[in-house]
Amino acid sequence: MRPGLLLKVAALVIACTGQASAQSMTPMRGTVTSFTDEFAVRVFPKNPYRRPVEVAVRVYDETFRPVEARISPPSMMLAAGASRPVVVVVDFGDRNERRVRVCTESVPFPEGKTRIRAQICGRFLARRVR
Amino acid sequence: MKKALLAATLLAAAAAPAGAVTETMTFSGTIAPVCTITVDSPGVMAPDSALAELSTTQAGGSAGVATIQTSGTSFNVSTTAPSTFSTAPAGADANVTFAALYSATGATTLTDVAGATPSPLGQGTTTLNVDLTATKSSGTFPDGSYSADLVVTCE
Repeated sequence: MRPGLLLKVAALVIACTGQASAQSMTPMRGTVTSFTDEFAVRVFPKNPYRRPVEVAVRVYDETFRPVEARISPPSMMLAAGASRPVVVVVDFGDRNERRVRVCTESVPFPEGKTRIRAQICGRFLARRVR
Repeated sequence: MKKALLAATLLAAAAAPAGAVTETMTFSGTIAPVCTITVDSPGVMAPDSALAELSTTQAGGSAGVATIQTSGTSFNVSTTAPSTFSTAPAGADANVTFAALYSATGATTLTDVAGATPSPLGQGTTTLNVDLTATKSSGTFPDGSYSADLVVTCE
Protein backbone atom coordinates (compact mmCIF):
# COMPACT_ATOMS: atom_id res chain seq x y z
CA MET A 1 0.00 0.00 0.00
CA ARG A 2 1.33 3.41 -0.92
CA PRO A 3 -0.68 5.75 1.16
CA GLY A 4 0.63 8.88 -0.47
CA LEU A 5 -0.59 7.80 -3.87
CA LEU A 6 -3.46 5.57 -3.03
CA LEU A 7 -5.24 7.90 -0.71
CA LYS A 8 -4.56 11.15 -2.39
CA VAL A 9 -8.09 12.19 -1.95
CA ALA A 10 -9.90 15.09 -3.37
CA ALA A 11 -12.93 15.85 -1.32
CA LEU A 12 -14.69 19.09 -0.64
CA VAL A 13 -13.88 19.65 -4.19
CA ILE A 14 -14.61 22.81 -5.93
CA ALA A 15 -12.16 21.70 -8.37
CA CYS A 16 -11.42 23.67 -11.44
CA THR A 17 -11.03 27.36 -11.80
CA GLY A 18 -14.19 28.63 -13.35
CA GLN A 19 -16.22 25.85 -11.80
CA ALA A 20 -17.04 27.87 -8.72
CA SER A 21 -20.66 27.79 -7.68
CA ALA A 22 -22.43 30.76 -6.26
CA GLN A 23 -25.73 31.47 -4.70
CA SER A 24 -27.77 34.53 -3.98
CA MET A 25 -31.41 35.11 -3.14
CA THR A 26 -33.81 37.91 -2.28
CA PRO A 27 -35.71 38.58 -0.13
CA MET A 28 -34.09 36.98 2.90
CA ARG A 29 -36.49 38.20 5.56
CA GLY A 30 -40.22 38.54 5.48
CA THR A 31 -43.51 38.40 7.31
CA VAL A 32 -46.58 37.03 5.61
CA THR A 33 -50.20 37.39 6.66
CA SER A 34 -52.60 34.90 5.16
CA PHE A 35 -56.36 34.58 5.31
CA THR A 36 -56.29 30.98 4.11
CA ASP A 37 -54.88 27.66 5.32
CA GLU A 38 -51.72 28.23 3.30
CA PHE A 39 -49.27 30.98 2.78
CA ALA A 40 -47.06 31.81 -0.15
CA VAL A 41 -43.62 33.31 -0.42
CA ARG A 42 -41.99 34.41 -3.62
CA VAL A 43 -38.22 34.43 -3.73
CA PHE A 44 -35.76 35.30 -6.45
CA PRO A 45 -32.69 33.07 -6.65
CA LYS A 46 -29.95 34.76 -8.61
CA ASN A 47 -26.85 33.58 -10.37
CA PRO A 48 -24.45 36.51 -10.19
CA TYR A 49 -21.68 34.81 -12.11
CA ARG A 50 -20.60 34.28 -15.65
CA ARG A 51 -21.66 30.71 -16.16
CA PRO A 52 -24.89 28.77 -15.71
CA VAL A 53 -25.58 27.34 -12.27
CA GLU A 54 -28.16 24.74 -11.34
CA VAL A 55 -30.03 25.61 -8.17
CA ALA A 56 -32.75 24.02 -6.08
CA VAL A 57 -35.15 25.68 -3.67
CA ARG A 58 -36.03 23.85 -0.47
CA VAL A 59 -38.04 24.67 2.63
CA TYR A 60 -37.01 23.89 6.21
CA ASP A 61 -38.34 24.68 9.66
CA GLU A 62 -36.42 26.46 12.43
CA THR A 63 -34.39 23.33 13.14
CA PHE A 64 -33.61 22.65 9.49
CA ARG A 65 -36.02 19.77 9.20
CA PRO A 66 -37.55 19.62 5.72
CA VAL A 67 -41.01 21.15 5.43
CA GLU A 68 -43.55 19.91 2.92
CA ALA A 69 -44.22 22.65 0.42
CA ARG A 70 -45.26 23.25 -3.17
CA ILE A 71 -42.32 24.84 -4.90
CA SER A 72 -42.60 26.11 -8.42
CA PRO A 73 -40.12 25.42 -9.89
CA PRO A 74 -38.22 23.31 -7.34
CA SER A 75 -35.02 23.39 -9.37
CA MET A 76 -33.77 25.29 -12.35
CA MET A 77 -30.73 26.14 -14.40
CA LEU A 78 -29.96 29.82 -14.07
CA ALA A 79 -28.06 31.49 -16.87
CA ALA A 80 -25.19 33.82 -16.07
CA GLY A 81 -26.54 36.85 -14.26
CA ALA A 82 -30.09 35.55 -14.38
CA SER A 83 -32.71 35.66 -11.67
CA ARG A 84 -36.16 34.16 -11.72
CA PRO A 85 -39.12 34.01 -9.36
CA VAL A 86 -39.88 30.89 -7.40
CA VAL A 87 -43.19 30.55 -5.59
CA VAL A 88 -43.29 28.54 -2.38
CA VAL A 89 -46.63 27.56 -0.86
CA VAL A 90 -46.71 26.10 2.65
CA ASP A 91 -49.66 24.73 4.60
CA PHE A 92 -50.26 26.09 8.10
CA GLY A 93 -51.52 22.73 9.28
CA ASP A 94 -53.15 23.24 12.66
CA ARG A 95 -50.95 26.20 13.52
CA ASN A 96 -51.69 29.87 13.34
CA GLU A 97 -48.06 30.83 12.91
CA ARG A 98 -45.18 29.21 11.07
CA ARG A 99 -41.55 30.09 10.81
CA VAL A 100 -39.81 28.62 7.80
CA ARG A 101 -36.52 28.87 6.04
CA VAL A 102 -36.65 29.04 2.27
CA CYS A 103 -33.25 28.03 0.97
CA THR A 104 -31.62 28.27 -2.41
CA GLU A 105 -28.97 25.60 -2.84
CA SER A 106 -26.45 24.95 -5.52
CA VAL A 107 -26.58 21.50 -7.04
CA PRO A 108 -23.21 19.75 -7.20
CA PHE A 109 -22.13 18.89 -10.68
CA PRO A 110 -22.67 15.26 -11.56
CA GLU A 111 -19.05 14.80 -12.52
CA GLY A 112 -18.22 15.49 -8.92
CA LYS A 113 -16.30 18.68 -9.41
CA THR A 114 -18.31 20.78 -7.03
CA ARG A 115 -18.65 19.37 -3.58
CA ILE A 116 -19.17 22.36 -1.35
CA ARG A 117 -22.78 23.36 -1.66
CA ALA A 118 -23.65 26.99 -1.12
CA GLN A 119 -26.92 27.43 0.69
CA ILE A 120 -28.66 30.78 1.13
CA CYS A 121 -31.62 30.73 3.48
CA GLY A 122 -34.25 33.38 3.97
CA ARG A 123 -36.28 33.39 7.16
CA PHE A 124 -40.01 33.95 6.90
CA LEU A 125 -42.70 34.28 9.49
CA ALA A 126 -46.28 33.56 8.43
CA ARG A 127 -49.38 34.32 10.43
CA ARG A 128 -52.85 33.05 9.75
CA VAL A 129 -55.73 35.45 10.24
CA ARG A 130 -58.97 33.65 10.91
CA MET B 1 -57.21 105.13 -23.49
CA LYS B 2 -58.14 102.95 -20.55
CA LYS B 3 -57.76 99.91 -22.75
CA ALA B 4 -54.34 100.98 -23.84
CA LEU B 5 -53.22 101.47 -20.23
CA LEU B 6 -54.53 98.05 -19.21
CA ALA B 7 -52.73 96.38 -22.10
CA ALA B 8 -49.53 98.15 -21.19
CA THR B 9 -49.83 97.03 -17.59
CA LEU B 10 -50.38 93.40 -18.57
CA LEU B 11 -47.43 93.47 -20.94
CA ALA B 12 -45.20 94.92 -18.27
CA ALA B 13 -46.26 92.25 -15.82
CA ALA B 14 -45.62 89.49 -18.33
CA ALA B 15 -42.22 90.80 -19.25
CA ALA B 16 -41.05 91.09 -15.64
CA PRO B 17 -38.34 88.51 -14.80
CA ALA B 18 -39.61 85.52 -12.79
CA GLY B 19 -38.28 85.19 -9.28
CA ALA B 20 -35.71 82.35 -8.84
CA VAL B 21 -37.32 79.22 -7.40
CA THR B 22 -35.45 76.17 -6.10
CA GLU B 23 -36.92 72.82 -5.34
CA THR B 24 -35.24 69.74 -3.99
CA MET B 25 -35.52 66.65 -6.11
CA THR B 26 -35.27 63.55 -3.88
CA PHE B 27 -33.96 60.25 -5.13
CA SER B 28 -34.63 57.10 -3.22
CA GLY B 29 -33.29 53.57 -3.31
CA THR B 30 -33.45 50.38 -1.33
CA ILE B 31 -30.97 47.60 -0.82
CA ALA B 32 -32.73 44.43 0.18
CA PRO B 33 -30.91 42.18 2.65
CA VAL B 34 -28.86 39.82 0.55
CA CYS B 35 -26.12 37.28 1.04
CA THR B 36 -24.06 35.73 -1.72
CA ILE B 37 -21.78 32.73 -1.35
CA THR B 38 -19.16 31.94 -3.91
CA VAL B 39 -17.27 28.71 -3.50
CA ASP B 40 -14.00 29.57 -5.09
CA SER B 41 -11.26 27.11 -4.35
CA PRO B 42 -10.92 23.38 -3.89
CA GLY B 43 -10.59 21.61 -0.61
CA VAL B 44 -8.43 18.54 -0.57
CA MET B 45 -8.39 15.86 2.12
CA ALA B 46 -5.22 13.88 2.69
CA PRO B 47 -4.64 10.83 4.87
CA ASP B 48 -2.58 10.61 8.02
CA SER B 49 0.18 8.05 8.24
CA ALA B 50 -2.06 5.53 10.02
CA LEU B 51 -4.78 5.85 7.34
CA ALA B 52 -7.32 6.41 10.08
CA GLU B 53 -7.98 10.04 9.27
CA LEU B 54 -8.63 11.98 6.11
CA SER B 55 -8.36 15.69 6.64
CA THR B 56 -7.78 18.97 4.94
CA THR B 57 -5.34 19.72 7.77
CA GLN B 58 -3.04 16.79 7.00
CA ALA B 59 0.09 17.32 4.95
CA GLY B 60 -0.96 17.59 1.33
CA GLY B 61 -4.47 18.69 2.20
CA SER B 62 -5.98 22.11 1.84
CA ALA B 63 -9.05 23.87 3.19
CA GLY B 64 -12.02 24.75 1.04
CA VAL B 65 -12.45 28.47 0.53
CA ALA B 66 -15.64 30.41 0.00
CA THR B 67 -16.32 34.11 -0.31
CA ILE B 68 -19.43 35.46 1.35
CA GLN B 69 -20.78 38.89 0.59
CA THR B 70 -23.46 40.39 2.81
CA SER B 71 -25.42 43.61 2.64
CA GLY B 72 -25.86 43.92 6.39
CA THR B 73 -25.05 42.49 9.78
CA SER B 74 -28.12 40.32 10.26
CA PHE B 75 -26.65 37.20 8.66
CA ASN B 76 -25.06 34.10 10.13
CA VAL B 77 -22.80 31.52 8.61
CA SER B 78 -22.57 27.85 9.50
CA THR B 79 -21.52 24.62 7.85
CA THR B 80 -22.98 21.16 7.75
CA ALA B 81 -20.55 18.29 7.54
CA PRO B 82 -21.61 15.17 5.68
CA SER B 83 -22.46 11.92 7.45
CA THR B 84 -21.05 9.76 4.66
CA PHE B 85 -18.79 10.18 1.66
CA SER B 86 -20.48 11.07 -1.62
CA THR B 87 -18.17 8.72 -3.43
CA ALA B 88 -15.77 6.32 -1.80
CA PRO B 89 -14.52 2.76 -2.07
CA ALA B 90 -16.45 -0.04 -0.41
CA GLY B 91 -16.06 -0.04 3.34
CA ALA B 92 -14.90 3.53 3.56
CA ASP B 93 -17.98 4.78 5.39
CA ALA B 94 -17.81 2.21 8.19
CA ASN B 95 -17.09 3.72 11.61
CA VAL B 96 -16.50 7.17 10.17
CA THR B 97 -17.38 10.48 11.72
CA PHE B 98 -17.01 13.84 10.01
CA ALA B 99 -16.15 17.14 11.64
CA ALA B 100 -15.92 20.57 10.08
CA LEU B 101 -14.20 23.69 11.37
CA TYR B 102 -14.30 27.09 9.78
CA SER B 103 -12.34 30.30 10.09
CA ALA B 104 -13.05 33.70 8.58
CA THR B 105 -11.17 36.82 7.60
CA GLY B 106 -12.22 40.11 6.06
CA ALA B 107 -15.52 41.59 7.22
CA THR B 108 -15.71 38.78 9.78
CA THR B 109 -12.97 37.37 11.97
CA LEU B 110 -13.37 33.83 13.26
CA THR B 111 -10.96 31.06 14.19
CA ASP B 112 -11.70 27.34 14.16
CA VAL B 113 -15.40 27.47 14.91
CA ALA B 114 -17.18 24.12 15.05
CA GLY B 115 -19.01 23.72 11.77
CA ALA B 116 -22.58 23.55 13.04
CA THR B 117 -22.20 26.64 15.23
CA PRO B 118 -23.73 29.72 13.59
CA SER B 119 -21.54 32.81 13.63
CA PRO B 120 -22.61 36.36 12.84
CA LEU B 121 -21.22 37.81 9.64
CA GLY B 122 -19.98 41.36 9.29
CA GLN B 123 -21.24 43.54 6.50
CA GLY B 124 -19.10 43.26 3.39
CA THR B 125 -16.88 40.51 2.08
CA THR B 126 -15.82 37.59 4.23
CA THR B 127 -13.39 34.89 3.20
CA LEU B 128 -14.32 31.58 4.77
CA ASN B 129 -11.85 28.72 5.13
CA VAL B 130 -13.41 25.35 5.87
CA ASP B 131 -11.57 22.29 7.16
CA LEU B 132 -13.14 18.86 7.00
CA THR B 133 -11.90 15.78 8.82
CA ALA B 134 -13.14 12.21 8.49
CA THR B 135 -12.03 9.93 11.27
CA LYS B 136 -12.35 6.15 11.51
CA SER B 137 -12.93 4.95 15.06
CA SER B 138 -11.75 1.52 14.02
CA GLY B 139 -10.08 0.18 10.90
CA THR B 140 -8.39 2.17 8.18
CA PHE B 141 -9.44 3.91 4.98
CA PRO B 142 -9.13 1.69 1.92
CA ASP B 143 -7.42 3.01 -1.18
CA GLY B 144 -9.50 4.76 -3.83
CA SER B 145 -11.05 8.09 -4.66
CA TYR B 146 -13.12 9.92 -2.12
CA SER B 147 -15.37 12.93 -2.17
CA ALA B 148 -17.64 14.49 0.40
CA ASP B 149 -20.35 17.16 0.22
CA LEU B 150 -20.22 19.94 2.76
CA VAL B 151 -22.83 22.68 2.93
CA VAL B 152 -21.98 26.31 3.69
CA THR B 153 -25.07 28.19 4.83
CA CYS B 154 -25.70 31.91 5.01
CA GLU B 155 -28.99 32.90 6.56
